[in-house]
Amino acid sequence: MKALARALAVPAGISLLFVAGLALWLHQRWLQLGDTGRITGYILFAVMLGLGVLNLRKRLSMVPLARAADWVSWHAVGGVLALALFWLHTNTLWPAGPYEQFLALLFYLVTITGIAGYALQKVTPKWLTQTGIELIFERIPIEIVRLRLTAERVVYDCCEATGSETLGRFYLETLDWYFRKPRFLTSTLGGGRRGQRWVRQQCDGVARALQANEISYLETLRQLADAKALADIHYSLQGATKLWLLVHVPLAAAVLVVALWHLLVVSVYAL
Amino acid sequence: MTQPFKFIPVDTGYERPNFPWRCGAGAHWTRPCTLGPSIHGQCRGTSECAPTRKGDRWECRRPASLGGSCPVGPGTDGSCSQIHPPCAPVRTIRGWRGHLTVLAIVLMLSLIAALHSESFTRASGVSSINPGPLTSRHAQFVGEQGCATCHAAHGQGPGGWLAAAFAPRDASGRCVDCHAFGGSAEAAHNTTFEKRQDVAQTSCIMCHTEHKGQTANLVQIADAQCQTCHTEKFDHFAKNHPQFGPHYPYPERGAIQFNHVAHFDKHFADPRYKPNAPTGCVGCHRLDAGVNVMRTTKFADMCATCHTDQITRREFVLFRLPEFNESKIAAAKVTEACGPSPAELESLKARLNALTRGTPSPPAKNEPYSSISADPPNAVLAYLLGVPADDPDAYGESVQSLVLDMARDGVMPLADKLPASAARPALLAGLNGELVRRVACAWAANREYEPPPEGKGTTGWKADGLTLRLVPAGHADPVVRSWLDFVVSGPPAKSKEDAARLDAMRKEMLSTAEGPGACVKCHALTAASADKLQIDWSKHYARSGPQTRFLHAPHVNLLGPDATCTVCHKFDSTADYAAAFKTLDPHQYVSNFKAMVTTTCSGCHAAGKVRADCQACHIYHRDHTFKKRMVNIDSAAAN
Amino acid sequence: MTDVAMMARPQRWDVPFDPAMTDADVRLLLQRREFRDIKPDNFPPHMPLEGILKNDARLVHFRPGDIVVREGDYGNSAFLVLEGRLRVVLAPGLPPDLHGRQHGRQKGFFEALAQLWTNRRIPEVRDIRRYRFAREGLRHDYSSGNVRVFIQDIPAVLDKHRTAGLEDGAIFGEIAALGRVPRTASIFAETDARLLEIRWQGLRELRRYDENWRRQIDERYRANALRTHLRDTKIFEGLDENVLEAIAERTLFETYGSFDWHLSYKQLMQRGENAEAKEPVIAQQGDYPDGVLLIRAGFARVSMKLGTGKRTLTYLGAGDHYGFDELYANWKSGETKPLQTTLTAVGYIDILRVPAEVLEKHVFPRQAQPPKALISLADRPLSDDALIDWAVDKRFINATKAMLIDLDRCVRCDDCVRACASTHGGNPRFVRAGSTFDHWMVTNACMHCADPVCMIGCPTGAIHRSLEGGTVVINDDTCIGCGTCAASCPYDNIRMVEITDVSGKELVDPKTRQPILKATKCDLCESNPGGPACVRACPHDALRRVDFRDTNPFRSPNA
Repeated sequence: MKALARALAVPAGISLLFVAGLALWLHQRWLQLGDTGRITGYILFAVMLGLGVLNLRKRLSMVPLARAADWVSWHAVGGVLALALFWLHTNTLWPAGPYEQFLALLFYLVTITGIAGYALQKVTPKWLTQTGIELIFERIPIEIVRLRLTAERVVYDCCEATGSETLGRFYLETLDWYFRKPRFLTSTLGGGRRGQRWVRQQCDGVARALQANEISYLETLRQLADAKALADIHYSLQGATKLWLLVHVPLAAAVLVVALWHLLVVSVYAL
Repeated sequence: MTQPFKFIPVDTGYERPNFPWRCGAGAHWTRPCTLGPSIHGQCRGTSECAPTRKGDRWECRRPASLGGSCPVGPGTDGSCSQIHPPCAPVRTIRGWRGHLTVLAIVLMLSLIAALHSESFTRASGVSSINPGPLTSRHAQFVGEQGCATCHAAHGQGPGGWLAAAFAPRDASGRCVDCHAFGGSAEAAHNTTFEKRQDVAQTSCIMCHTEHKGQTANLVQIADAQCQTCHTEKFDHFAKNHPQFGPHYPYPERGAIQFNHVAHFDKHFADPRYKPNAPTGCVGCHRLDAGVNVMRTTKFADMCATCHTDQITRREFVLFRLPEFNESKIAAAKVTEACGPSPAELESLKARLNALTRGTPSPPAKNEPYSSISADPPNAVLAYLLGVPADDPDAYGESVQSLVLDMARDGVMPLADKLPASAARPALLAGLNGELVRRVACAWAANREYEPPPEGKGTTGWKADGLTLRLVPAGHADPVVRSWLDFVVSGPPAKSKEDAARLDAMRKEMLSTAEGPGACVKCHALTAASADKLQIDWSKHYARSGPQTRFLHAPHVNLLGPDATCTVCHKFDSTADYAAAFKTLDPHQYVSNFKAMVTTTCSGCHAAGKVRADCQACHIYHRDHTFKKRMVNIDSAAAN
Repeated sequence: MTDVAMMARPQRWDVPFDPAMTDADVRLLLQRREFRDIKPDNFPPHMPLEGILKNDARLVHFRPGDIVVREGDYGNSAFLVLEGRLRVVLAPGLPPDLHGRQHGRQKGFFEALAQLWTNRRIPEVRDIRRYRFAREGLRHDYSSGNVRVFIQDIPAVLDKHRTAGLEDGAIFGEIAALGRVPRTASIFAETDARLLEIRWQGLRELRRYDENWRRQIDERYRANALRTHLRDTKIFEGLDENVLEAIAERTLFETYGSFDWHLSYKQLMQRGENAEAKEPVIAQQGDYPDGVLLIRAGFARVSMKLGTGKRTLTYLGAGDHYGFDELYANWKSGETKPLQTTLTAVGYIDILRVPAEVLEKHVFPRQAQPPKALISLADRPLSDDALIDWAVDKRFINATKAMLIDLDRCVRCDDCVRACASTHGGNPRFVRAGSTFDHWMVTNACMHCADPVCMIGCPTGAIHRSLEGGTVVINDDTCIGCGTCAASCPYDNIRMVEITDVSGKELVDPKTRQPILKATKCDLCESNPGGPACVRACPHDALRRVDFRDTNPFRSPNA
């Protein structure tokens, strides 16, 4: 929290001053029956372009263009600033024209996804760290397959060593489904650990039916399943932190296009 | 026992998150290959090495990163033994992101193009250029022209758009096609202020912004915005609004001298008149007429019951035959004009009888002349003929000449004496030429006119004895009114004598004692300019300001119909009301109502009570009207 | 239940320096004056002089122009000239390209920006036309497997540079070998030359058991490098030249640990054993201090007894000292307090021992206030030790530019990896994985070690420290893909990649049919403006490059 406050303090302070100053000036202009829409519109569009430039900045990491962390701080604050400017510009929460309504809808969606994404990015790192393991997202399939193959090997070894098929049947009935791919994603997305609970329930349930010499194999399976649960958490949380951008970025591009046309029409049709 | 599972941090090459593809096998949660897809998204993992021929055998050359030489080794034909079915690589999330972004841009562009195409816009009613519905009133007027009614660039194509984007704005141009004002449309309050040269040019869209919905309020303006220009600033109406004028809202007298105090306190209380008294204020003032001023109803409905005979009694004498010292009218001419008079006829008959009897007629006796009238000419006549009224020698010839002409030609000679103006016909309207001739003939023959026995009708032009006069038909007789107008606004005097005669005529005509001067007992006589008078036949109070509006109806309705007017309009019985009508200056006025002050209103119009914003009482525009009128659709279609 | 494979305990001379050394060679060598006067009796029975020469030395032949040692290289051996003439290039040294190194030229802003479109989408593309140097500047000796960089135009070099001759009987390279410091000058063969190359272990034994060799080596060191080092030491600040001279006279040299510590360390790590138990003890808690220990190179762990175990208090690196506070306290109070802490060698360590009486005479009287005792670190909570333990156990203390990621902030977006790729032709140069502790991760990115063991044994000098910033870089043009550096790196931070040509075709050696490999690693974006792109690119301020020699590398500089 302290780090967050520190990162946002300067941009937020400057933005707040800017908005306050602008609002004061706009009020003066409004008192004198001056047009405020054009000025706020251009400022808003400039801010929106500035927000969009973050995407370019990420492509231009080979040249020194200030720290991306500062960019993101400014981006986050700038997004809220844009919302304030949007309201100063439209003087309403919901405009009257269908095209403007569409633009507003897109704008709100981008803002909401942005804020949600920012919040998500502040929460997921800690949850990921709490798993105690580190996995690169692209490698999770490799690890899950490796876990499954190891588990299958353990079950096979057990059947071979003990001559009992109980563990094999248990695996086919329950754990096979579990090891097949990441499971309980929605639970882990909320920071929950349903996967581990499920594994405990299943394993405790079958333990009563197993012979003493099979128990050690079950314990190994349990460890593998627990490891898999951690991998699942990584898959869902890391996936979520990537997926929200899948919504935010295309929407942002759409907003810029739609806003550009709005700008064009307004400058042509202005009286 | 197997070791607890440990994630292997990094056992192969670099992860390449900058690549847009990932192994399809991994995507389906089966074992992904270590090579990964090619940059173009093709599977590269079908075999693990390309064996090389060494001598007569094939050698595995699987790189160390895949585990070195495989235990099986290449087949006899040199093929790799580690064969996997190819996967269908899938895009990474990032790869999809780029694609979706491009897709979103393309989608938006096509949406804009579709919304801009006329056919789509017409079919759906949705347009990319319409920022919202017009107010319902404006929406009715755009009609066939559509957006182009206001936006010149509409439908002009890219060239027109480009031109419009750089053209200077004409913010009010299209508004004044329909709207008209009592001044420049682009000046503050449609007025040029002498004191406030700094007030910039205004434009309609400063306040009136359209496309905010069908029911949007286009005329809203905040008090603070008003106060930006107005130098006298105040916080709230109830607190420190500038005080109204000293006689507010009665800055000058009206047309009618109606002493409310006298009527209500004296006359209406009188048992004789009580039956005729109006029922309160609304007996005379109509709630449904007028905006700022409560208009009164007609004379007939208000005053006639008491005051009609005060009007019909007062006759207007156009022509009074004056005294002559001698007759300048040759009898022959009179006979020529009128035929023989009864006396002449007698003498003629006698002469004829004598002739037939052979008796010579006695010679005509020259009787001494004796004027039938002993009066001076009336002032109107003296003015019209331009003669002094006090010297029979001076006026005798002119008057007798006129009488002879009238005897000969009826009304016309009389009319010729009137100044040529549009009012001339009105002045003599209804005057019968035959009557004039008969009267003139009698007078020419030095006889009093004896009207025939009264037919029907007691009003209108009458003659008897020595006068030709008008009996008013009642209130607002047009001829009397024309004469009074003529008298007060008569042509400028040509000489000193003329001025004296004009003055005499006015004195006679406006005498409250007799004659048509009864009118000015009620109708105010006012100096229109330094040398011009006028009678205020009907006049409303000048509004206290063109930018002010007061609606009586809601106030009355709110407070109840009775005893309501006096809440604000309070009698001032001490005021010398009548004196105000003795002067010619309408502003030298004392109302018999007490002046209103801001506290009169602020009892209700106060914070937390009734609205007290500027627009509650003030109107921005001066004399706003429409150039175009609402057209009846049916008749328009018929045309 | 772990499977145990049996093998004989490795012995010192199981792997001789050069198996081709014969007894005849040794006999011939023993007749030379450098070895003739050595008394064999001084050598312990298990470490005879002949054995040293046979197993820790080899005969090497250089042709005219061959570079024997390069300025800036790390080396683990010294040379004795047997025949021929060599030339030492005096300052200023040879230009980098003659060394097979790259210029440390920085790109301009727009040149850097151009990478946006010049970066390849195909992995590890190389324009092989660039590898002219590989064809022309290297001399392959296929019989020995050696590859040498050689100077093609000796007269031109002699013309342009000041050089000094090295004749028969000269010894060189011993400071770099024993002191673990970079070679200070380049030496090349002017004529055909035969040299005896003695690896550092052998050199150490010769110095230890023979008075002449010791005197010779120590005097050369005292003359060349010791004074500078003492002057740079904090506790001797402000002493005048005469005093420093006196201290230098009395200073003793010691080395601890294994020169090739990284190899044994990697084995230990692979076996999952605790490295700490194997660390040689330099000074023991409870012993009486006889002098202050100055660390000249390498690292040492400061620990103390705790119950039946030990706790690590801190680690010391080059420039640090040990035992000073106890000696000072004793001098002040007249007591004889023993050492409060134990000092053990982490890897290889080179130590200078300055005797107590020298300090009492020259240093303590000038000491304004008592030095801060190392033992005071013991006041901190035990749980705080863990982070230090981790850093020492994993040898991160070696790092000057470790990539440290705060996992509580990192959203695992890989922007750092992409930024890395964008400055390296589209190829990442590190893997965002590595050892973690609590919420800290030191990734598999080159740490630019204070003691860069990867540089030992590079045949072409392709891996080197850049002269500008001390960054460890690899010259792709001269890298022959032998993999020595990657195998040496204790942190797995050097990766061998298979390269492709510009059309995306895999490059294969025509002889072996094996892919051509190149060693790659983080170069700290040395040729790019603005420093490491990974740090700049981190959107959440989670990634830093830290120097573990700082007092608290884990504290955020923004805090």
